[in-house]
Amino acid sequence: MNQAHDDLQLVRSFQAGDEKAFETLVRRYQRQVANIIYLTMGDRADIEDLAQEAFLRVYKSLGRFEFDSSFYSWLYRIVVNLCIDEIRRRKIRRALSLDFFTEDRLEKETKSIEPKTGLEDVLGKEKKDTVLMALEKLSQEHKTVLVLREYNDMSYDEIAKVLGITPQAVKSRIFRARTELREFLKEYFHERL
Amino acid sequence: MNHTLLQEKLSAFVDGELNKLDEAEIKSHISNCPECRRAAEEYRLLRASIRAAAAQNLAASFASDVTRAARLLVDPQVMWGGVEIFARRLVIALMLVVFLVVSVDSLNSSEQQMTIEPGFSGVSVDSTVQQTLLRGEVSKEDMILAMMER
Repeated sequence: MNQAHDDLQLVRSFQAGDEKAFETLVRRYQRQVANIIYLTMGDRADIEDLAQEAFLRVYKSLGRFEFDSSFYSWLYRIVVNLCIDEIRRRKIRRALSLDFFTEDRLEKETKSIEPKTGLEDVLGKEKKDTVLMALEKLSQEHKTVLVLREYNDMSYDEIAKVLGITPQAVKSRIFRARTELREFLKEYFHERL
Repeated sequence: MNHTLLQEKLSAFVDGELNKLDEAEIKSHISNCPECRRAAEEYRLLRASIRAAAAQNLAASFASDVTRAARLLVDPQVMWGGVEIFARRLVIALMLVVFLVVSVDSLNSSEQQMTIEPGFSGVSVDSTVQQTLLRGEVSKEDMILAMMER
C-alpha cells in the first residue's frame, strides 16, 4: 500500500472518529511541514507555533476533506497559505511598529534590500546559511514554488493544484526562481563545480 | 530555438517534466552546449543544497501535543463539556436565589400588612376578617369599607 493511499485511509478513520489517525498523520508530516515553514519564512523562530497552527487548521477541516486530491497536497496548500498569511501579518506589524519612521529602521530596511551577492558575503557563511539567504531574496511566489519542487519533490501538476495556478505557470516560475538563485549563488556554484 | 526557451525546457528536464520529444531535443542540445550543461549541473546542486539546508524537525511529542491541543480547541464535546456543567449549575443557583428573594419579599409584605393594621385601631376586627386580611385576599381599603358599613 503506498503512502498517499494510506494517508487517505487515515483520513477516513479520523472522519469515523479515530483521533489516533490524526496523530499518525501529524507524526508522518511534521518534518515536511516544519521545513516548508522554515524554508519559506527564512527563520527558525516560530516554526513550532506555525506548524501547530497549520495542523490545527487541518484538524478543523479534515472532517470536510473530500478525497479529490492527495492528503499531502491538501496539507501543503494549508501550510503555504498559512506562511503567506504570516508574512503578510509580519509586514503589517513591521509597518505599524513604533520605529517605522525612524532613521534606524530606514537604514536597516535599505541594508536588507541590498543584494548580498559579494564573494565575502557568500564565503563568510556556512553552506546552509548561504542557500537560505539566497532563498530569502526570492519573491514569495518564486520561493514557494521552488520549495515545493526541490524540498517536497512535488510534480508540476501537484504544485499547480496546491497553488491554484497552471502547470505551465509552475514551470516558468521554477525556471525564473532558479535563474535568480544562480545569479545570487554564482560564487557558491563556482566553488563547488 | 531561442536559448532562453531552451533553458526553461532544461529546467523542466532536470525535474523529469518533459515529454519524450522535448527530452530528446534537450539531451542533444546539452551535448553541444557547455553553458546549458553547466546550468543543469547547477540546478542539481541547488536541489541538493536546499534539501541539505532543510534539516528542521519538531519535538518527538509534537504530534501528541498538537492532537491534544486540537481536541481542546476544536472538539465541542471536550471544549464545552466542562462549561456546560458549570452553566447548568449556575442556572440552578440563580433560580434558587430568585426563589429566595421572592419568598423573603412576600414574607416582608405580609408582615407590613400586619403592622399597619393596628393603625386603624379603636375598632376591633373580628378574627375571620383579620385572617382574611393576613392571607392578603382582601385589600385594606375593602376592609375599611367593610368596617364602616358595620
